[in-house]
Amino acid sequence: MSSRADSKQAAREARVAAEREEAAKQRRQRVWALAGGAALLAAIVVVVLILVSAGGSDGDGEASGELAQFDGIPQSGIELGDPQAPVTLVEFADPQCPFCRDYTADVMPGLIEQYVAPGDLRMELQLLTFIGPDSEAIARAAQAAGEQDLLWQFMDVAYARQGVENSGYADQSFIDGAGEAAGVDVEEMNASVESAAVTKALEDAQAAAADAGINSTPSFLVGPTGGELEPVPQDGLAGAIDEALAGAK
Amino acid sequence: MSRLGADRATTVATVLTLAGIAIAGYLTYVHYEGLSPVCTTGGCERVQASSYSEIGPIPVALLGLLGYVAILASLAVRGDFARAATFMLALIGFAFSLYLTYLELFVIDAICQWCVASAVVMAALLVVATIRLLRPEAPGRAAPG
Repeated sequence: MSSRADSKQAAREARVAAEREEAAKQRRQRVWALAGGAALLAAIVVVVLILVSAGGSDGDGEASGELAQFDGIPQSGIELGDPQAPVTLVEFADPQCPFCRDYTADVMPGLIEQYVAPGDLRMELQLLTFIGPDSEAIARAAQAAGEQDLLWQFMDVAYARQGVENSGYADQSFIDGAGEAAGVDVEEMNASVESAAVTKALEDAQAAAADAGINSTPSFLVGPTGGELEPVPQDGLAGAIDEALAGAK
Repeated sequence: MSRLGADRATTVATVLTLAGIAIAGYLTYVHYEGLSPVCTTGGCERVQASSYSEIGPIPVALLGLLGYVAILASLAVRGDFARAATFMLALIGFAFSLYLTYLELFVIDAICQWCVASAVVMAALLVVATIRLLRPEAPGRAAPG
């Protein structure tokens, strides 16, 4: 009797063990199938993310179409607007910075129309070159264009044609094309890009940024012309200009 | 050394995810506030100013934050499907972090400590999520799925 009960018990245990083993095997198979499916989905999502984030503007080779905004406005080197305007706005920008491009395309035209054209505001554009060699190539050309009082037009075109950063897009062809579109004497500009004056202008911009504690672009300072300028976020520019104007009257 | 059981793996994954949320949340905050992140590597501003810091209108930092929140949500659900979802999200985060690290090293030419920290967290999360998926849950607590 005892022997038969033992063997029944053993058989039951063996069956239970087999069932457990089978269940575990089925789970393993299901888990591996889930892991495989998850990995496939992940691969698809990552590829899409990488393709979408290809980075930088692909540059359509067209000027922004906003060059007319500078017509009739005094310009000298890095300065735009009436030198006697009561309020000054200084922008620190890198030519390869996409957010600076967005500001130039979307925000700056409105400020020029509302404040610079009527003579209430003068702007300064301090070009920094911390993103890479393409930044320096464009900034040098822009400073050289500034000797012809066309820095603002040159940068407007350079931003509109901004390429993938640090890809080497700011080659001679790019510089020449931007210069021509901006109305610059390209030969004269190219003769100046390596000049001591251009180098000093870039060093001055760097020093001004360091003095103001600027370490990202675009950054802005606003205040009374000749007075103390204060850092202002991009979305607070109009308010800060209005405030400075009210204080100047 | 004791094996990392599924339940302990969930705890570790939750802690890692909260760390990731803190990092991505900080980067999202400084992005929208226009601030410079605290930076000891000297390259954060350059990375932040890079065109690669946004995908379309969405900052990469915000994408990371949403990813970590999704991982946290998947950790709160029991069952193999939820574990597979955690694994998938961690795999996406890890692979995209590898891509971003490549960009920092070879394209942007600057290292952002916060991005590296997030990449390390994501790598650890992937390891834990894999263990969690392959190890069975404690007996009697497994949910169908």
